[in-house]
Amino acid sequence: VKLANKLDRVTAIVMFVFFTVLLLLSWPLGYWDEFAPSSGFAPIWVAVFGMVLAALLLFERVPDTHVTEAFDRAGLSRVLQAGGGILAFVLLTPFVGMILAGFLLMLGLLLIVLRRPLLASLFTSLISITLVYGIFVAWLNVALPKGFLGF
Amino acid sequence: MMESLALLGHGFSVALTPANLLFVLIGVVLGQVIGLLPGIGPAAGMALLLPITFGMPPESAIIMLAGIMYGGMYGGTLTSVLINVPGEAASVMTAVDGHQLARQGRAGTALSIAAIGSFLAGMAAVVAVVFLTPVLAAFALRFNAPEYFLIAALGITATASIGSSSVVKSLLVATFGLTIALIGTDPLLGTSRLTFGSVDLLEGIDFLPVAIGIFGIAEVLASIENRDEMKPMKTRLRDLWLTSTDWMECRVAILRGGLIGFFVGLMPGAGPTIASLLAYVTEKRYSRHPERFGKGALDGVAAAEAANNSAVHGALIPMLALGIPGSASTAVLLAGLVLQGVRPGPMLMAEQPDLVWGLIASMFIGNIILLVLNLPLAPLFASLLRIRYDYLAPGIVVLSLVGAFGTTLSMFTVGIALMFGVIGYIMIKLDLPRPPLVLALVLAPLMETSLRQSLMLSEGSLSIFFERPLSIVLLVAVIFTLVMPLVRLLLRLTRGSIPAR
Repeated sequence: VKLANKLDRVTAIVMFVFFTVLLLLSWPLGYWDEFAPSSGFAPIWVAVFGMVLAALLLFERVPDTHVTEAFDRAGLSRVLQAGGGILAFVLLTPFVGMILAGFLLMLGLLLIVLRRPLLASLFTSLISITLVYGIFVAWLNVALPKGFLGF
Repeated sequence: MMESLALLGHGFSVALTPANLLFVLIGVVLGQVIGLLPGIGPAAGMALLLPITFGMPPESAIIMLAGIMYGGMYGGTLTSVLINVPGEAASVMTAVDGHQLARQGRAGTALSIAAIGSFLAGMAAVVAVVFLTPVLAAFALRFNAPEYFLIAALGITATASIGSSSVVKSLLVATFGLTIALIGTDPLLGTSRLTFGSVDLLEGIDFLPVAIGIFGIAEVLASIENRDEMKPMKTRLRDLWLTSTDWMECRVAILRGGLIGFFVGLMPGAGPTIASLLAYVTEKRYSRHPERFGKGALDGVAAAEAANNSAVHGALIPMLALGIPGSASTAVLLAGLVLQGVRPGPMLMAEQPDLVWGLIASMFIGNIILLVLNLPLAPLFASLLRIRYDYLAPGIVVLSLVGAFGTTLSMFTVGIALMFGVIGYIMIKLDLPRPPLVLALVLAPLMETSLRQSLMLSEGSLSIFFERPLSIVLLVAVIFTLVMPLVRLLLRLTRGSIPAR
């Protein structure tokens, strides 16, 4: 018996652990009441099914129809910067408001992550955030979080 | 039949109101643009734009979202032909021959036959939707809880069985989606499950932030990682004119592709990508010039494009008649219905005639608009390909995050969208299919409640799934979709015929 490729093996193990934890969490909810399935019925079945599938994935060797691209360092660095920027947006929003945080996020992504020229980045961010403001605040009346600047 | 025509007439009175005409136009133009931008498909575009439908009447919202769905099929062609990068997955086969034709100076001809093929197949598929949807909906009124459980299960197992290179991965992802759907309050007993004491999780994890994260944010993160610059080939208006030889060469391909696409679209899980692939392979088999395929076969482009547009329209039949989505796009459309307070299912046609027939009528109008957009205006849309994706990606991220906030007015939902954005990105890198997760999330409530109701009715006996012929047929279909790929997997393991990557 041969094992699947490395990435699939990692996926299989992580998912097996995930579904084992799900099973442990679902067990106390109960499987069956006197006449009907209890709250844990579906989660327990889902967990068992997931564990079986994760175990199968460990041994599955699929045809190489899609070559998974390796994580390249520069690309991964850009993704981490973008992820950090989005996280900063979530943390900043309650203080500076969603519109300003969104503008700063766009500007940061364009200037720092994507290395675009300053003027084009400013112009793009300004146009985009005005569009977002127009749709969500002016048109749909969504109460977006406001910051110290009042918007 | 006459009743369907009368109802379609009523549908046109809904779709032809100035407001709804505007939303058809907005929907198909957005779909066209979303389709032509590589990295964001119709499902992602629909998920991103769902929050802006909150304030709209349900008919207008669904008409616009559906416009994005089928508009995306037209838009993907431009990118496939002009830069050899499919704008969305269903245009992969178009790129094979379409770009070869462009290199031979026949980009206009390829775009033209793709637009005409999509239009003719799309219109024929909408006619079929008019007559078949009411029949299926009437039949579905006989469904009870066991049938609903089995058909929802079939939606997931068929997606895994047909739509992916690895059944195990697809089912694993679907099972993960079911787990996400289980978080929150038990729909039958009212107890909290897997909430870890969080008040925010009591109402469960909403479909929308998951879809926004999995499709929208994940796609942007992946595109930020791989920044390929696109260099589109030029096309001119006069090149779009077809000769009679071109037309004679492609008319049967359009018919065959349209028929294949429609029937593939009806099947849960298959979708437009499989449809275009199957139509292309079939056309190569029956073409008088199979040697041209891969080197610039116009009939190959016609068949693939007719099939993907036909499949998108065909997939609406199970969605409208049964409330069962068969693809990621129809899952988002179904979520759009639920967000508008509309209950999907066999009663939808009777309870919401304005919505259903307005939507169907709008698809006739939308396809006509798309034909106009893709023939005389094709060079204009092609010029959009010169905009660097770098300038669009940050805007898509912010639109995703603000849209996620708009669903619940809570930063917790934004966090959920971000978390699923990261999960979606990891799924892309691990070659895990994302549509099964979204489908499972949408189908899970129906699956769980109908399974538990069935077992309550039978006092725990599984015999309830064998009592009616209809449930037996569905059960056999579910078992078939589960067992066949597993048999294939076991055969592969025992023969060891597939080399490990």
